[in-house]
Amino acid sequence: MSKTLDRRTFLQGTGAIVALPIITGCARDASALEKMVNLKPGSKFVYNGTVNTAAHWGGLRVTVEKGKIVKSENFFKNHSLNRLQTTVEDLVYAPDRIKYPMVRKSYLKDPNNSKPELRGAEEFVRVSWDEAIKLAADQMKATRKSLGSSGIFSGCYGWKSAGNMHNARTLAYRFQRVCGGFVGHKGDYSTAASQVIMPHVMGTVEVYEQQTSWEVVLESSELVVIWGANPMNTLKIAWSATDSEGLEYMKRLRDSGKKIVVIDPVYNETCKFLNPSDWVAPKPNTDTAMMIAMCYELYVAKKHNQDFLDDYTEGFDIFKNYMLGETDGIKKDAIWGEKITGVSAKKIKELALLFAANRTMIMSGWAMQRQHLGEQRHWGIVTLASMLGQIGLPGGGFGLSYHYSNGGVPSATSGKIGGIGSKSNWKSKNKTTATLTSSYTAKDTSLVIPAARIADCILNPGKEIDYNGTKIKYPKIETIYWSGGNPFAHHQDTNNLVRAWKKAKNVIVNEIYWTATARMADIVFPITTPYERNDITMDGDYSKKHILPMKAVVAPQFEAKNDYDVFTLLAREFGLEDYFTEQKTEMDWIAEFYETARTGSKAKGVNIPAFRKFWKDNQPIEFPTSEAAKKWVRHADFREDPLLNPLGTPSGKIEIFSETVDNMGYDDCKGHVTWMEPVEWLGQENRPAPLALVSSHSAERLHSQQDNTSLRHIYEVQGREPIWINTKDALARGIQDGDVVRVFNIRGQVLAGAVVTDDVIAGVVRLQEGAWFDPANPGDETTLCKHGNANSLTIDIPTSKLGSGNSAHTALVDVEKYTGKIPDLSIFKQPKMA
Amino acid sequence: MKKSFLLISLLFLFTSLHAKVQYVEKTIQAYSNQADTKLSGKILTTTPLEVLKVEGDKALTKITGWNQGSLKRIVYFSKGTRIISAAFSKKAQYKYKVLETDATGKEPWHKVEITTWIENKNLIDDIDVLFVKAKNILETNCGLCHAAHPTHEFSANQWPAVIKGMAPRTPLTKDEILLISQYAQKHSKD
Repeated sequence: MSKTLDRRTFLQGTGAIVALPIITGCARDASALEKMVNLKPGSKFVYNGTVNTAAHWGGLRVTVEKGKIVKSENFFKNHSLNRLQTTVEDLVYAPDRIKYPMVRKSYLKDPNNSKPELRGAEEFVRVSWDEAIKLAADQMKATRKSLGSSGIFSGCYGWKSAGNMHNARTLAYRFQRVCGGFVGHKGDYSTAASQVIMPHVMGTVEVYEQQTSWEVVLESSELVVIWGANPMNTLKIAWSATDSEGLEYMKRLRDSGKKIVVIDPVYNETCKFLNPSDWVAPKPNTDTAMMIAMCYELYVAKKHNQDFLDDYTEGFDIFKNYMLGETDGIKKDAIWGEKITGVSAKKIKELALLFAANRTMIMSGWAMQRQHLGEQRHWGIVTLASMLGQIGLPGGGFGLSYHYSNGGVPSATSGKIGGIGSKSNWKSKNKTTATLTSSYTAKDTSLVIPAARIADCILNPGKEIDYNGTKIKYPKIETIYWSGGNPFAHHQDTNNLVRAWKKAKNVIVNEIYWTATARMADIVFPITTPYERNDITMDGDYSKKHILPMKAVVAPQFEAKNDYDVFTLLAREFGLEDYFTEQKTEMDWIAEFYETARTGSKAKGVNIPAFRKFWKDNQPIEFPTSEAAKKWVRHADFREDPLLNPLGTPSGKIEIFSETVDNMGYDDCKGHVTWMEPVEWLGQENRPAPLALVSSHSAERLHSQQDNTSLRHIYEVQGREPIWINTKDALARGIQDGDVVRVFNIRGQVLAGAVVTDDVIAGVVRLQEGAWFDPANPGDETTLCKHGNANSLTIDIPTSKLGSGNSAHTALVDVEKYTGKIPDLSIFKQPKMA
Repeated sequence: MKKSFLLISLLFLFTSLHAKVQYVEKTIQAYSNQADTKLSGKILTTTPLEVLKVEGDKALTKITGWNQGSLKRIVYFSKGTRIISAAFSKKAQYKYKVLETDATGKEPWHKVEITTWIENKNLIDDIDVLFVKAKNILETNCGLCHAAHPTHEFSANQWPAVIKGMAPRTPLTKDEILLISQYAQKHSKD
């Protein structure tokens, strides 16, 4: 690092020495000391000035005064305010930072008789790094000896911090693979159902793929439909780092004067921003019925595109017979649709004809497919879009990724940076082709389970489940290692997860903060924030418009270490350090990843500076965007020549009927889109609770990230996560705006703060996911969450035997005014220490 | 795919003792005549072929594969799945022989033998060298953002579309994308 120090930083370093005596003068102020300002003589950190870095919430400029972070903002000046970018100070100096390696008291006493039932309830003991590393390594070695790699779950799902080097998830996989394998996950929580059904229907996953350019939408679409998405919230973030352009295109859409229809049970932030021509609010979990009814009305009005169905799709007639009621005697017309969805037959018919009369782009989010039977939602949209016949035309068809990571922002002409991989290349370097060939044919020891089946897996070792035409047998999990994720925020039915965690022998967690996940661990390693380490990323998952340097702003706080260094130390215990590191440092990797992009750029005729200059300048590298990229239309090549450019389905066409899926014989995912009753919904007989819970993505968080910043004071009600409740439902329960309420069902109970509003339809409440789980009685599986964690109420069942996604948005709850003493929150403070 | 791949490899072994089976290392251009400079088609990486004779910088080769329905210009590696071995332009000239026809499905599949000129380069004897390389590239680049999908998680038809959709996020070159697509297709779930 010191080699890349520029003059300015050097001078600031000198400034630090001068300032030293003054700071030491305040040494008695414990809190000032704890904040660990950049005061080391010759420090490589900026003492007064700005540093450019990045996060999921975009390119950031961070201001440092006297070695302390005082401000952060969007690096790119021309964009609208994204409050997530303002919190770097809160994130680094959070009162709930994990300061030292910590071990649960009974576990430290005897890890083989550690009273796992006390997890979450018992105090932690501070230990040295040496002790913590040895303890974790010894326990993992013991599990490998008794159960092999199938005894260690290290699937580490979650939104790890941005950056291609300190990728906490991949680093965990890499470490575990070096040691011989582990149980990982397949699919994810975001799109599990769609990413399995779409390849059968469209030949590819659709949900993570570039969309028809926004420029084309603005030019050619006449009607934009936003079906079950809230891009004004979700476009504040991206999987890499947001390029902030998605929100700018939303502004242009709003100002374009186009017809906009939003279909959502909530008049959400996007509605408020766009002021759509129409807001249509079906009951949660009934969208499939609405889509099928629209198909029916298109068909009987002869407004469907039969030529498109003939040339580009497979099996429409089988679906048609179902739709017309020839297979089951039920006509799926608008009247049928009204009974299920609550949307009037007149409106369903009107929408079908409106879609057909315009060049219509249907943009759908993912919440709908995170419902029981979620596979049906996007299959329904594809079927409807096929009947409209505009797929592959400019501004027509459907898109499943406009709300995510700036889908539709044209792709720049850029070389791409590399990143740390789960596979170490150390071993292969000195090997001959012959030994490589045998390793290539060797069976991979790693097992995978569907991401959202984690609790089910731990609770039911040996159980066999269906998955996309295959069977998966759950292994017995003894050790859980999690880094870069917070399952006690993102997993459904939190209390059931508590139950599952108690069955594990060892739980090891890398964490920055005392999240519920950290509190449920035996060994906790304190991790740096991205602002305490060097890294590199590109922005805009799809646009890849810039390479962003992520330069460390301040020194690691307390005893925090990078995930990379934690796994290096663990690998050393296994005698495998070189395999993990390939003898490379943080900066070696970052330089290598950058140089990969430089080579790739050069091949595309774009020259960018060498790494040394890029790093010293600490400025983003910007790439040009071609006219072709701005005019790109999804599936245009397929439409132009379906024979030469077939889809990846068996027929090469859009499979409205999939023989492959039909042959699996599943009762919960049939050969074509089908309306089936979900396990909990408003229309069911003897429903277990009266209100449907919508737990969509919050405006001021990235899932659970940033809930521990000052942003929560903007939206919280009496320190609780807000719950939107319709005026009528509130009145019937004697609830007033601003009241603390108890939300409950058979699975759990949480406190929340009532927001009484007609922006959510009667019968529906909105409690957004991501509020940190704060149990009144930690470790008790019936506990009240004092803070409003939505997943205490959601159901932990698979979407279907096909995708095994989560069913977070299928839950009924009840709400009552809370009359007890309102408890103080515990979750944003340090836990009990022994 | 692996089983049928092995079968076909064995078939090659028995029927072609007179000429050695080689594999395309990197996409090779095809030509209608030995003297042509304008290409008539492309033979994709990992495709097996036999060199019949060499003249100048070109070689006359025999490729065996399958046609779907009336689409003669595209030769697939095996029956029923679209793993492309070779694709020719509309005006391309090459010797074409139908060896057998399977008319049991919705569309007939024809086993064909094609003889065409190619540029005489980028051929290797050991297919495993290519597959080892492909596996490594796939695991290194497809596990950067998510857990890499094992090849048996998608079908042979799905793989190219899945890779095409995701590859723009990675530093993969066109040749690498083609190579890992073929590798994934030839080790897919079907």
